[in-house]
Amino acid sequence: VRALLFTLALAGCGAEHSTAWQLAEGGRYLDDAGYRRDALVRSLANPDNAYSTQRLASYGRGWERLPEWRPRSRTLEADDAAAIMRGGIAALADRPTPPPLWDGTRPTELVEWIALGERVFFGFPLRPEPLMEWALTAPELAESFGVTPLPDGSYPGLRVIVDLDGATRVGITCALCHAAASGGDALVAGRARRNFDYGSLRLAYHAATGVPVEPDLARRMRTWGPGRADVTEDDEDPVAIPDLWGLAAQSALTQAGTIRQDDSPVALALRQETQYLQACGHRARPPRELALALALYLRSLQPPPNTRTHDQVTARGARLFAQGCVGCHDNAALGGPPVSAATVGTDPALANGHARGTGRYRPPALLDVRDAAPYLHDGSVVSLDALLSPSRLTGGHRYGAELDDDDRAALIAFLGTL
Amino acid sequence: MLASCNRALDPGVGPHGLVVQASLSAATLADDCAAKSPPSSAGSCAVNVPCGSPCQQSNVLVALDAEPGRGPVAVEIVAVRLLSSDGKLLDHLDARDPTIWTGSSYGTWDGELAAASSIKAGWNISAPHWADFSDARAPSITYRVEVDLSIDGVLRTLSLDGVTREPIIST
Repeated sequence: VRALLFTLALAGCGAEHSTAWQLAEGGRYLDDAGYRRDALVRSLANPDNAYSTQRLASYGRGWERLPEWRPRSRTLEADDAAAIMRGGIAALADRPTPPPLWDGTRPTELVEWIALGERVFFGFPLRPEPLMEWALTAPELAESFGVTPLPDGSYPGLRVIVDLDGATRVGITCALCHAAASGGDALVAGRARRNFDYGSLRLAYHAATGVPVEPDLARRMRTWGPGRADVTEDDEDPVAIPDLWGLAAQSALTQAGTIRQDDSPVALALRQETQYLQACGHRARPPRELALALALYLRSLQPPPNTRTHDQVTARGARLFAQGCVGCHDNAALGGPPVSAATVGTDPALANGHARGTGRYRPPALLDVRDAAPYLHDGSVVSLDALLSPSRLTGGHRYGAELDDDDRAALIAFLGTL
Repeated sequence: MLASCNRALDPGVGPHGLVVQASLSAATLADDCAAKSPPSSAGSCAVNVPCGSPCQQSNVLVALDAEPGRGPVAVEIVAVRLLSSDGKLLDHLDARDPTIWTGSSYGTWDGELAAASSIKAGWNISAPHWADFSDARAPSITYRVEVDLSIDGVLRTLSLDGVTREPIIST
């Protein structure tokens, strides 16, 4: 099932979806400012929310005149962590930092772009993170918030960076939130790190250091818990860190469907360019080649192989899925186009927020859904059983609650094969 | 130029006669980290370990392009104003610590702009007093930032629309 879905998602159905076409679109994004601007305008599902308003005011205008930044950085290794524990971040300042991860040569083949995008995903710093410097002063402290090293001692998602002011700091990359191991498995790029507890990390930092925090912000952060954070300008609508599977099949990006995309990687590249620019406080912008490479890499991500086999129960679940679920989960990743928040019935705060709202929620891809708990955009439901249970107390997405116990079990068994 | 974002008003020429194009590239409305230093008696970071703060410095970034001519000329920010999107004055912000892009990072800048040069300059600014205009405090509201910039003694106003208060996590 998985192989068929990905074949559909990645290969597309016509010549307009070909690799050559996607690379040509990427080339226009890199070289044509007018095309970039037009693509941005087309991608904004709600041009009136704050996110869109800011991008419309600055993208291709003021932001165009920001300097391009190619930071030097390296993986944060075990001996770096030990040095931080002994002497703080200053202990790393004299250690050599390699040149930027990209030498300025554009890839020509898709596989080369994707390889560069992987290096960006793991190695291009989004921003410095002083909280990590603090957490790393004690390994058990970092681990208590879900920041753990790999068996080789390196910390995925953490880098030693030379920051925009020339200082050596600990920085974070996409991999901090979007790469995780499952059980004893190796690190999986694209899997949400659901044990990362950023809100508790921040609260612990403030409690330990005495650095003041607004009481209202502290109240909100106490509600996040592991695997959730508020990433909008509203600060009142935390979301679950999502897996990144199936992006190429989705017609919208973000849980609220803030960004429209067609079959090209350009809308996602624009989104990543914006993200890097905003994350560094609008002081610099990333090389667009790296934003495009990251977009192509993200669109290529696949969940680990699912070895579950089909039987009569899962076949029955597949029929139930076809009858009741494909109305919304209808694309190659079993996600779908955004539906109104009123229709899905979940907490509408994010969908209707002034920050990035569109009035809608995007049905998520269901690839590897068995391992994607907690569910719904805000992570408010702990399991598939709970999601489809008629006795669930939290509102929204009542689909499946009408099934009897056997059918519900069959549907969940089928979902486990995706 | 239309009265929208990034416009440069009154591009006058100072005593040196140097023609300079200036525009406001970006503005960040967040914290003033100098005002959020941890109390000296607090902190559980390792002994004698400097400990960072989850603080994002508010700033403005300005692009300056000087034509060939007689220079250098002095550049400084005289005033920064925060306005609502419909032009109502909300706050006065202070600018300090001018920096200049050096190719890989921002370094200290003496505020002198040479002839025939293009630079990216940044200033830290104080954080808006959000509580003083609570009706406009909602983070998702967009603002206008205006900067009065003195170039060779001649004042011009740069502005940028669509600026939002920074979220806790930019993603």
